[in-house]
Amino acid sequence: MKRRIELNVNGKVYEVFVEPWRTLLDVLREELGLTGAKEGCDDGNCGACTVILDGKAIKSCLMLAPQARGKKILTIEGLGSEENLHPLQQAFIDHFAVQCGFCTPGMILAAKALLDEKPDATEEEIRRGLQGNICRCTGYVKIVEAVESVRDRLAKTPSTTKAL
Amino acid sequence: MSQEKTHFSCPSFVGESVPRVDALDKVLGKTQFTADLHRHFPGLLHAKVLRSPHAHARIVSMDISKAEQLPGVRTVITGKDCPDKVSWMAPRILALDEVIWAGQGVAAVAAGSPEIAEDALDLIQVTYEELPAVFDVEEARKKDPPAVVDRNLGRHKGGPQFTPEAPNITGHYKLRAGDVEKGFARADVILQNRFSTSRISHSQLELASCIVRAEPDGGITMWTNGQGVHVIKGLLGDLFQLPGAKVRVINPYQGGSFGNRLRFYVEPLATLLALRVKGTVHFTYSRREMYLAAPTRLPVTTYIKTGAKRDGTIVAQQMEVIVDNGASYACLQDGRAAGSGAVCVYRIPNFFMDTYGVNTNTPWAGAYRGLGTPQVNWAVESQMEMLAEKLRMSPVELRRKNVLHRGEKNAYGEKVESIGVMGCLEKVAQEIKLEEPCVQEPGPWRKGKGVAMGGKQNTPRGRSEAEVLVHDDGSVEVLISCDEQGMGAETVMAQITAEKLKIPLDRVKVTRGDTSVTPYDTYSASSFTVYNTGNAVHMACEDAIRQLLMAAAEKMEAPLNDLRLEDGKVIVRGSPQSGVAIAALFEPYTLFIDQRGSGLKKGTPVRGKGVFAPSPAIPWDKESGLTPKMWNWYQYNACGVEVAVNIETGEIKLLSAVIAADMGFPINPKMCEGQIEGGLCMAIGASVLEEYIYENGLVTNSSYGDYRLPTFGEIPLRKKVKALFSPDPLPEGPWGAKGIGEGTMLAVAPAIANAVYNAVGIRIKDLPLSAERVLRLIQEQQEKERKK
Repeated sequence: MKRRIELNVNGKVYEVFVEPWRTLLDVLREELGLTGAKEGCDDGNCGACTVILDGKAIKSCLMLAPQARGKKILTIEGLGSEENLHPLQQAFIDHFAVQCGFCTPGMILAAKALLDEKPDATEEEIRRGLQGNICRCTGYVKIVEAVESVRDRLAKTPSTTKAL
Repeated sequence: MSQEKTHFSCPSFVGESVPRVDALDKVLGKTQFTADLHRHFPGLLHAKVLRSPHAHARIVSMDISKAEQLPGVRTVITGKDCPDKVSWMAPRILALDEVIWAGQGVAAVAAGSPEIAEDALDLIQVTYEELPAVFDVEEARKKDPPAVVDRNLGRHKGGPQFTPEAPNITGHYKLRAGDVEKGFARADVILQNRFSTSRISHSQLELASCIVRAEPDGGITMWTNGQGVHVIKGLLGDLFQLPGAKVRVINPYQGGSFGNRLRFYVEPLATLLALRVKGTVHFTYSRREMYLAAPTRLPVTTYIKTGAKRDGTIVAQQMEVIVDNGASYACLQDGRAAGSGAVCVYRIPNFFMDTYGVNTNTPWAGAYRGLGTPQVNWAVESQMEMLAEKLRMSPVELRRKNVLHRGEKNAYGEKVESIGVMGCLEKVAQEIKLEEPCVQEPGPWRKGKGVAMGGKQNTPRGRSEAEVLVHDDGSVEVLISCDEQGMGAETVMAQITAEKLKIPLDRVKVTRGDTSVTPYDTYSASSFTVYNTGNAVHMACEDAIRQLLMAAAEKMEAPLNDLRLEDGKVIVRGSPQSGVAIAALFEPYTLFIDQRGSGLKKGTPVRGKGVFAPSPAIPWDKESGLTPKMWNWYQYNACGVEVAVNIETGEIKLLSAVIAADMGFPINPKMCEGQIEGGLCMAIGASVLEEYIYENGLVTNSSYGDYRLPTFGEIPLRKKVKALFSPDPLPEGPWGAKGIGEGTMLAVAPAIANAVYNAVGIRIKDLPLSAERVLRLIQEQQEKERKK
């Protein structure tokens, strides 16, 4: 039986009618057309479906859509635009941290949540923080490089922390 | 065609790490992958497949009537509804009356939602009668095996490699170079070993997926992440007797493949369903299906016997390479490609090798980054290290002594054209300071260093066509049909075009992978996209330039030879100021200009065309296996690592890793580094983590949770990973480029094993070097020492 739920996604409130057992990932993709979050495994182990919920990176395939009611959801589509890329998006381009691109939206959002929480994260902390996101192409090296470059920029300009 | 290239000695795009042309869309989450498209299709049906739980069984009966009656179900099909055809590209769509691996499809449903389709599967009743199964490749290849895997194997006969010597042998290749008996008679030392590798999964992040729409005219349009749009078009046309004019296949970006999507296991089923219901069908594998019923990497068992003189010169080698194809003949029928890795690196005057492809009742195997060569190189490079120890030689010196040089002939009889492997090894050994001992620390961790190298053949397959359209405003569109599974093909093709036409990169747009729009290409495999498609783009650019200059010669009344293209203008020699913009060469459409005459017209781009195909292989002598051209070129690699082994847990930690690659020429150095780092990581998985675990032939670790893939945690710290180049240019490659993608897997596993040996003194011969296995061997060794 379908139910009406409200979801706050990328600063906009959406009203959707869905079965309550649908996952957040499914609703983002199928109902809202936000296909930046991907399905790679369906059991929460690949991280391609990562979105940010009230500031925390979560696997949207492990959350039912109604559980996200009243929370602020950020997907890759709400992070930056062509004209105004988020520093992590720019760093992923500059450092060649993108290959096939399938893990990229989830990886960038996981990195954002990590740096928001710990702007001075060490390499070890970055690696541990992103361990739930699988990439099969890059070997992770350039992803770590990209995230570290943003961290280093933050260290130089502490006031931008909030803007991240 | 290589002649004209020389005047680009100072390239401005080629050889530069220009940013990827597809990166912006990808970081914004705007890139559309196949499964992202399905919300655009109203009334879309979803396909699901019922799979066999048994590794080998007869289908006694099947009742689909309840499933058919479930509301929302449009159709249910079984093996009887499928075309009775197989090819090396695609297995039978659904089993007919016998299942030959646990996971093979037996029935399929198309329904209004994935949930209804799954519910319908539960209503299908199948009665199986279990048959004896064979899982062990050495049992399977016997003349009288415990089970015959594929009774229809003989029907696939006709391929040049098919040699039915035993019921499960899919092919046999023999190499008989020199006289191996005499060679061994001259040897001072002889070393004999057996090595093996596990079955592993590509585990590309994007699930195999396609959407197919049956068109009112009887044709189909398909969106798929399968590789090679024109090849898929040909396959489907043949399978369903569809006219070529009515089959259109489109390939969005792909979320990785690594060889997996060179086999077509979603496309035929979805097409069959769509044609049956005259609708649009979406079929995406679940992750579990990716493990059970998508191609896997070939496990390879290698017997190797090497004879050498006291000074290290190898005088003879005998090998037996047994490739486990799983329950499909659709891969390396004769194991020849896997064995090639043993031929392309060292000078072996007397070489006796048999390679076999064998069927077992296990999930089917296919191409996986290296086509079997990393598995055989695992044996060769472990053996080299053991030989070096026996001879008390440095492992680098032993390899230097035996490595092939440019201009020499390898054991096939091929002339070596490009081989940068020794340079790779020297760089790697220097970088990890191989000669310096590791600094040991107190505690359970023991450190060691190791190196290895290797080579990978390139199959001289395929034909690449390219079209370069110079539009009337001077912007340029490149039409190609290679794949973009993440390696950066679009970026490289844009670089080549910008370089040749001397225009900024942002004036180039790459349009790719649509059979109704882009010209023929085979697919992106064997690391040949830069070489095959890149050469075609290069030729298409030259054709476009020639047409532009001819039009300019007429318009400017200047001799053709005095004209050249620069920065969007045609320039006359001696008067650089007199340039005419490309846009000005196109006649506008007005009432008073004759549109029928010669010359360029606004609205019609100049269309340069290029076709490139490598020169074909030359059939080898059936008895000796010799030929002057077995393959095309070879890419090479070396790897050096420092590891720490925990003697209490068996865990291996990679402290540092260096890979050097010979790719001929790095057209985009940063992207080459990306291939090296990605290959290293994937190879770490294959070396220390990954293996299929079975229960009665059914894979039990069929999820990302249970199957251990390398994460951020398994790679060394970023400053401890180095990607180096040691290119030996290939004369006929664009700017000397060969390829890089697969070679990066070659040397990692043996380098790690060699380092483990140097750390704790145990020689591991079976992959993966899992903590369990390492610990067991450490304990066995301790036990032996205690008894002494």
